[in-house]
Amino acid sequence: MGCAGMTFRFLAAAVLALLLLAVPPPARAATSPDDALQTLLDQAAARCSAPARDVLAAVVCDKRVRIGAKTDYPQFGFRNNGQWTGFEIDLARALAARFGARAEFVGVTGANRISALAEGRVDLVIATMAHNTQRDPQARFVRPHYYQSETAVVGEKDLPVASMKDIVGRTTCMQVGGYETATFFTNGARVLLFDSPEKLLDGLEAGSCTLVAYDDSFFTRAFQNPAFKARFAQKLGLAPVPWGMATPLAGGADLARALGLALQVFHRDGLMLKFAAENNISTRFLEEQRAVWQRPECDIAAEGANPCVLPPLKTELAPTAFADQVKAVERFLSGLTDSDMSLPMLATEQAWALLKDGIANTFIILGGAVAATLVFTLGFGWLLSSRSWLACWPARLAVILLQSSPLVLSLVIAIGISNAIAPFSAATAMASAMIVLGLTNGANAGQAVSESMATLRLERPGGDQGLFPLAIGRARKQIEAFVISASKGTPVASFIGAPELVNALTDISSFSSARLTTYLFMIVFYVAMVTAVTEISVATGNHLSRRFGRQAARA
Amino acid sequence: MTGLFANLPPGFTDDLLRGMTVNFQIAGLTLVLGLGMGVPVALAQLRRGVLSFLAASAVALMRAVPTFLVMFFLLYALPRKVTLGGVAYTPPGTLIVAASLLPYMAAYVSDNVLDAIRQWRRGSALAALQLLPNLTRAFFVLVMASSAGAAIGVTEAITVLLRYSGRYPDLWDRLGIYAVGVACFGVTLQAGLLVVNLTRRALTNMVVRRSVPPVAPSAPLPKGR
Repeated sequence: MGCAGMTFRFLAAAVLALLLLAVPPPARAATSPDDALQTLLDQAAARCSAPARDVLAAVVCDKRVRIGAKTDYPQFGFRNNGQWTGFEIDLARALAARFGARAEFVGVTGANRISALAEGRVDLVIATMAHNTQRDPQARFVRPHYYQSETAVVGEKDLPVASMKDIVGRTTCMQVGGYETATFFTNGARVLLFDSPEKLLDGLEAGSCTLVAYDDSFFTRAFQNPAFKARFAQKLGLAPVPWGMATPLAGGADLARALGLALQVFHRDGLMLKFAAENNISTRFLEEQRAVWQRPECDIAAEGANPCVLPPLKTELAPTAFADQVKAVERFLSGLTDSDMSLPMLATEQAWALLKDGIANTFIILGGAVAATLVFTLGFGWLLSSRSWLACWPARLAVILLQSSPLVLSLVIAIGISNAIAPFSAATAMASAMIVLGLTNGANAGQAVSESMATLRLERPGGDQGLFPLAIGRARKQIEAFVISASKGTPVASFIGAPELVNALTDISSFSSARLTTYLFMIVFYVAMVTAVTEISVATGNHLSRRFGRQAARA
Repeated sequence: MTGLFANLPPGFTDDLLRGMTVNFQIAGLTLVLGLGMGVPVALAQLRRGVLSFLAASAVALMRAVPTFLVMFFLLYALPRKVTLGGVAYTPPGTLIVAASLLPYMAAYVSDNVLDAIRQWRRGSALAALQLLPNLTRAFFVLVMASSAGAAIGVTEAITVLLRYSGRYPDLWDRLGIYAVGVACFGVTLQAGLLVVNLTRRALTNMVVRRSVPPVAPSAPLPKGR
């Protein structure tokens, strides 16, 4: 290569460098979140001597930030022998360092994290808190969100579950009060409820639960156990929920803005991914967020809300038209019992709709079960009384089988057969429940009718003509008892996903903490219903007895 | 279903028998608790006045309460931890199921004890002694009813059947597993009924041998669940 060639290249490079210098810098330089954050912090430092400082100024000037964090959530917020560890702890420390402050952790729980902010005990909460629209009026949520969880469905590795269609008829364990309970009920899962997430893992390992559904962050630790990981896997993920850190509503606006800008930078620069990797938690959401915040249109310090932030989860519950009257009744009951009494099933439109549907479906199942019991009573009674062994023996075998199968098992068998014929639906679950309750109770009552028939044949050896109605009259007490038994059995229909009152109230308990009144209401309703069925059965039995008695006397 | 019975899943039989044991434990516990609660209620009904009225009302209420709901109420509406003598205690699932069956059992015991006392007072010793086979029968009905524990994750026989049947995608294979369960419960129930009949016969023979005068027919027995 000659000297002239090198000179030409040098000149070309110099011209190119000059041209590059002449190009104006990108817009980011003027509106970058980094610069905006620094400006905010400088402004806060300038307010140190102000008589009333906002929270950001207090943090910057005192060089101390009080952070509410979880103490019992391994890999996110955990305290052991005074040592704080976890993803949220690392994030909090990095934020504090960016603000030139020292992180001071305060242990909070799900129940007191928002009140800790409102009462000024902490400046900031980073405590596995889902950001939903119901919480927006209670705290100032920082966006972008720093994490996202979802309801993970976990089961044995070789279990063929690839979509919600595959959960039909599978025992799925969840925590009582979980948001997603209704989704599983309506998709035909056999839902078992537990009062703590640890019991879900116990149930899964013991085999009581085929699947468990809970927040995926909870399973992170379990999947670090090689034995658990070798046996189980996440089958499905649904209903993502963004997690947000929050500052106080009063005086926390600038702090929230500064935190939001810092989080943008952390997402963009991969710092969040680093914290996640160091704590062995899922990085899927954080990878998505990094890509989002690296986009030029997102990597700005927007004046209002940044268009790239995710919305909170919508969970507003519209009050019913009579919510005020309900509140008045609640106050009266609370005063009367000297305890907190609430009626969540009447307070919001969503709960009220669930309650109405649950009651309507319960009455349908009740009516169907009673009708089926009476029909099967007559059928079994007639077959078992038959003098033809072709009719009598199959009926006897059926009665023995039905008596030998616990009601819960009969329901499971019925819904299994039903699902093989038609896809699971509320109607098929209700129909299966009605038929099983009718068959089980009708078989026993039919047996009582046939026994009465046998005694009548001994007493009246002239022939069978007219004896069957008399046998029914003679067995009426037993028939009454089994009609009542059928009505008492209707709540068991909830076990196979029938959308009756038990399942409706369980759904209501997922957005209300007032379980005592919810389940008390359920018991009062069913006791009233069974009592009504008892009274009607006895009155009808008496009426029919008088009628058949007169006919028998005339005969 | 080919070969299912010849080759049941490994561990199934052991797990099923262990599950059945839990059903028996729940039934036994309920029977004991039911006697403890039902006998005083029956004695209260023999008195006159307010006490008798209250006891009769309690029995009517206990009869009307569905077992399934009591179980949910105890499990989800009340605090799980109870403090006994200053020590926090979480009742196991088996105790929750037994407690949920208690209203039914206490009402049944009360009815039968009351009937037995009245028969005894009338001089019908044999009718009074029917209490024993009636309680035996109730025990086996409770074994069946304790399967409600499957709804709250108690590892009894139905839970075991559901666990194993969930491994089979084919309906006929699952029905095969269920059939084994029905057979287990069926044999248990039929054995129980045999015990009831043998007890009844033995009591009749005993009373007849002692030359007790003819007695009134026994109270009707409950059927099924």
